[in-house]
Amino acid sequence: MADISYINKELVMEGTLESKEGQIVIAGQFKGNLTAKSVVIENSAHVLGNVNSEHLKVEGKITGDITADLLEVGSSGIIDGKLKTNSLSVDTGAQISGNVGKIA
Amino acid sequence: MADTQSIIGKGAIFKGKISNASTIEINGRVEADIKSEKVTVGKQATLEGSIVSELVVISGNYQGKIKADSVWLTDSSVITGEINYKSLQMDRGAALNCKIVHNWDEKKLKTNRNENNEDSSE
Repeated sequence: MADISYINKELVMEGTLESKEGQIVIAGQFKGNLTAKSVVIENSAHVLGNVNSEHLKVEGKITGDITADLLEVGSSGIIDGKLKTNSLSVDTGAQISGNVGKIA
Repeated sequence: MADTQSIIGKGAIFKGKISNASTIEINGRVEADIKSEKVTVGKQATLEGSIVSELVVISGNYQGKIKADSVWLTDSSVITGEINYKSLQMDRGAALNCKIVHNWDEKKLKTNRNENNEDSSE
């Protein structure tokens, strides 16, 4: 089983979280940089900082730069920052402001 | 309860600050100050930093200062630092290299100390 880190609603975290082999699910507030194989930003979440991941799913809010091989933005996703991705999908309703580019 | 539980998974590394947690389980490596209702540090986990919580259960490595009502140190725990507690359970095998203080309520400690001083001056 993949090793999952789960940051619940209400929880406020500040710092850097890294899980190279695992998954990180954020439902609370996170300030700082996130690095993981797979990251899910839930509806209730707000991330302030950079996100690095192979697979990123966004249903919440991210303010910061994103590098993700595969990036899925759900209908409630809000992103403000530079996106770097090789594969992007955006649902109707998602709000994105910033640049979109390929991973160099 | 799963609704309020947060987990730092195995293999995860976190450095920083955690607050407003109701229940947090740590199975990875964490360097952080934690304020929570319940903190669990798993067998393979390492935690460095202070804990302020109602209940603390430690099975892994811990370094820092704990302030908690109930503390449970299981047989695989390794503790360095300071523990301030109201009720403490220690399993056989727990490795402690730390200062242990009962009834850590600082106001009470101070008033106790003052009373003692007055007694000695009389």
